[in-house]
Amino acid sequence: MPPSRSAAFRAWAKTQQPSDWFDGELDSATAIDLDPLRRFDLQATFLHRIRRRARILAQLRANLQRPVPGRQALEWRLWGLVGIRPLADRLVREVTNANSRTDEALLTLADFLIVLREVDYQPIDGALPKAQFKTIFSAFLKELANSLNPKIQENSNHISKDAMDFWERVLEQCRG
Amino acid sequence: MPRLSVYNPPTDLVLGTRLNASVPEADQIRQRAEVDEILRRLNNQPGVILADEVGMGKTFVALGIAHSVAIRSPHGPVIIMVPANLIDKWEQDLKKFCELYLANRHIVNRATATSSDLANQTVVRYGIARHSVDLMRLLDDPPRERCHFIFVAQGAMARSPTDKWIRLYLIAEALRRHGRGKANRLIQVKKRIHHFLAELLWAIGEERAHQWGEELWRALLQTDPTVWLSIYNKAAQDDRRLIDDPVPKHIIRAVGRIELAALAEALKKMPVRARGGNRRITERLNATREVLRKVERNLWKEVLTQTRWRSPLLIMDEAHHLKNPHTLLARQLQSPELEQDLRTGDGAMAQAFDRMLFLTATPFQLGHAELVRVLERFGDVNWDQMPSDGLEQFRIQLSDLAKHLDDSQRTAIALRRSWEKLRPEESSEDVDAWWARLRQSRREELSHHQAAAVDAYEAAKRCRDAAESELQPWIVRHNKGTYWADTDIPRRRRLDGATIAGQMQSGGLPIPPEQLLPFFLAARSAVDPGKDLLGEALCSSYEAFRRTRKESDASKDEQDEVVPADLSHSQWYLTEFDLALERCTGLAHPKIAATVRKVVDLWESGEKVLVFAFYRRTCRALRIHISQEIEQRVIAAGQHRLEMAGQNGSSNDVQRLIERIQQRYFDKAESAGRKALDRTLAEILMELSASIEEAQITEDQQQLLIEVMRRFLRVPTTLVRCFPITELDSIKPTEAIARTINFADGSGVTWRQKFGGFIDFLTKSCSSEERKETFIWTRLDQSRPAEFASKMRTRMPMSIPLVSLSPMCKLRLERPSAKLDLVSCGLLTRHFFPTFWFAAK
Repeated sequence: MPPSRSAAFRAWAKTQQPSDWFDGELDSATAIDLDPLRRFDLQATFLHRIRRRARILAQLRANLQRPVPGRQALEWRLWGLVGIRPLADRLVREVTNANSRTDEALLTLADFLIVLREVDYQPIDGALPKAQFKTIFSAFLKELANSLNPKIQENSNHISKDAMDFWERVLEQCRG
Repeated sequence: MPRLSVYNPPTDLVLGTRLNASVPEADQIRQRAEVDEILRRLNNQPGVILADEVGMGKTFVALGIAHSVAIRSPHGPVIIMVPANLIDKWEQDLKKFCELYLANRHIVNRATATSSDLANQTVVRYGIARHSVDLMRLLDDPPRERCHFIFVAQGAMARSPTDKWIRLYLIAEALRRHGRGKANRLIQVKKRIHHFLAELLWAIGEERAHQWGEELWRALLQTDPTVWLSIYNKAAQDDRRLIDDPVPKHIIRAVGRIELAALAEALKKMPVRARGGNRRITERLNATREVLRKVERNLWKEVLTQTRWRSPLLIMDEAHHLKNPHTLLARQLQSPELEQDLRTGDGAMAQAFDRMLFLTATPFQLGHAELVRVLERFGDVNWDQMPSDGLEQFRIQLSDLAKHLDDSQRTAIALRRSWEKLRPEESSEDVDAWWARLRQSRREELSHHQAAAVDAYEAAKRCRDAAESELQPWIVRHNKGTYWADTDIPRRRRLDGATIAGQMQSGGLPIPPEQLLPFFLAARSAVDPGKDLLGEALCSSYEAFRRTRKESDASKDEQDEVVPADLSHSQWYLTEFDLALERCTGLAHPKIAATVRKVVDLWESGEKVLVFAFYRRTCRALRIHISQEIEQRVIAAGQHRLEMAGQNGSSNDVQRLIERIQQRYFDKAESAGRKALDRTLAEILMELSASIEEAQITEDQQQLLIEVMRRFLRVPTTLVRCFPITELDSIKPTEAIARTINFADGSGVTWRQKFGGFIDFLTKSCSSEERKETFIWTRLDQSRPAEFASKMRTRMPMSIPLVSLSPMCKLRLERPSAKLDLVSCGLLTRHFFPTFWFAAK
């Protein structure tokens, strides 16, 4: 059965369960964790959200710094389906669609740009030379910053002044 | 196990059998029952944890048990180990305990006792050992003079002895062993070293305590340390005389077993005449001191591993510190396994005690595993007097207990989970009736979730009962009631997270949008696992964050996975953070703002507030922000009162008004207002004259009490709320004073009642010793504020009501002694002290 139909079937089956149906979690034999600290979930807090994203961004930066065979490969990393540009667009959508956390979403986008700005390419023999990387990447970053800004400005009335000022300073750095 | 008669209360212990007015009767009766019960248990088992809630009199119960055992035991004194900063409190409590609960007994401190004191059969002798050598000296005494109790500072055994007498003995012994035969240089040193001994031993000035000068050193060097006491005392002035042998016998024996060749070698290089200038001499002295320190460390290891002493009972205060078996404190009780692992103090008290009594209001904090680890320390008692398989049986019991506690917790969590699964249609609003019905229903009548909940309940109950039955022999615990005595005021109300700010949502305080940027930047600059404390500090206050960032020696958070290095670019973020923070004051921090608001609201309604914070910087910030907020509210309250009376006034007007009241009613002794005030305060004392007379409070002391009460009324915070400020120019002084002291606060308590309660406490609940301290402190405050402040920080008597403090004084209790602060505040807030306390944990 193709995956999509399988998933649909599971979703339908769940709606058909009677109230006293076997409950996997209730009857599971999973050991109960007695460590009180582990049972105290902090993952949803602001601090932990920021930390999680920081780790993802660090990984992204590490990937960009890896040697790339040539111009085309670099462009794929930047513009490709799972590249930087689609990710940036997604982060912008988060800003424009955010209901109550617009500032946080903008700060995440700004953080994303800061991390990109600090990419330090590490070539090896046979890979794209550093100078070429810099030329392509700087142009990309400048263009990215310029193209994202109008969408942010459109939503600036939902964003605090401090966050907007911060965003402007980050843009300046990317353009420079 | 043979029945030991020492575990019976003696007849002179009248706790609970002869009731007094100082302590509520119910408390006295309960405390006596606890003494009897714990003694009964100690008859059959190695130890008990007394885990009563804070403020229920664990100290008195422990002293009752200590006295019962110490008075009859032939095996050395009872050792009471307490945190060093609580020794004074224990000493004071012991005095009060003897005054209240021991018939025909009086106590003497071994350090100040006269020979007739020591010979007296009715005295209870106690000693204080802040260092390991002090303890050795006290243990040395002959049984007739030996202490009944010894208070030992918890860190004492973990510190190497640095005692000049022991150093002198080491030098004397090294010279005796190696300074003979052909050792010409050392023989020369032996003849001349007394010129340099005072400096070498850091005992400059010692020779001025007697008439002998350097000759005393020579005399001591040539004799055995067992006669040093008499040699020194013959030469010493009265106030410098020793009361005990300066070198304990345990040390003398241990020195006989250690190698002193290295020290002798170092001594060879000592100067024999003052030549080569001061610098050269100092260099040589320093080199010898260094070797001396190493020899002392070896000596201490020898003392710990070889010395065997015995005590019938160890009482350990704040025993939850034992929850980690690897701490210095816990290692002192355990027999060291490997020589190379030995740290100073390890095994110092292993198997020295016949029984143990642990005191802690919080036997565990994070999980019952901590409790089991504390109980494991009972295994370190001396098992010689017990059945041969006693230790093995004890370990089996603890293992069973740990298993049952695990089962109990596991089934309780399972019950909670199955309960959460119940759907609204599977339950009912009348929960009790519904649950009773559910439990009686046949299984097939129940839904799957209902049956699971019933099963989980049965399992949880069964496991809890089993755990309780296993735990019961080891712990005695009493909790305070849900409500304050004789009131319907709940003792405890818990406000989690955002609820402190009056918000209904669960979870933490939201970060205001205008502060999201600094929070984001700070959090982003602190994502390294090694800097997790920065995140915690940020959540506490901006001030704590800044401070922690400066120190930046945070320990690693093991819960975070390893992340690539340099992911935070912290400097850029920190620069931006500082920029962002310039626009936010410390008061704007959501937690600080909510706390300040809550505290000042409570203050405004007349309540007393104690604030704990993890970070000292947060305490400091709170103190500043709360003070500022109060100042603003005082003015605002004054303006509001003027407005209500149809008068308008600026903040300056309010301040001037308060100053006028202070002059007319407080500062000018001959003014009508001041006279009316003093008359009224004297009347309050008069109403309680019987108690005052019984407590033998002198005329002078009564004047001090009036002075104290006056000071509480004089402050702007009292005047603006209680004094009829809008009628200052028209009201008669007697009427103004009557209205002020009869003004009821948010809890409905007037100043007259507070003053009455305070004097009642002072005369009936305080011991004579505590009263004496109180008046000393009152005078100290008046005449020498700097000395008072210094004493306040280092040694605060626990039970005195601190009458000398003005209500708005800024207390700085920022030291790591939560217990002390909490107990003090418990006493103070109950009685008189209407201000804020900040305690950094």
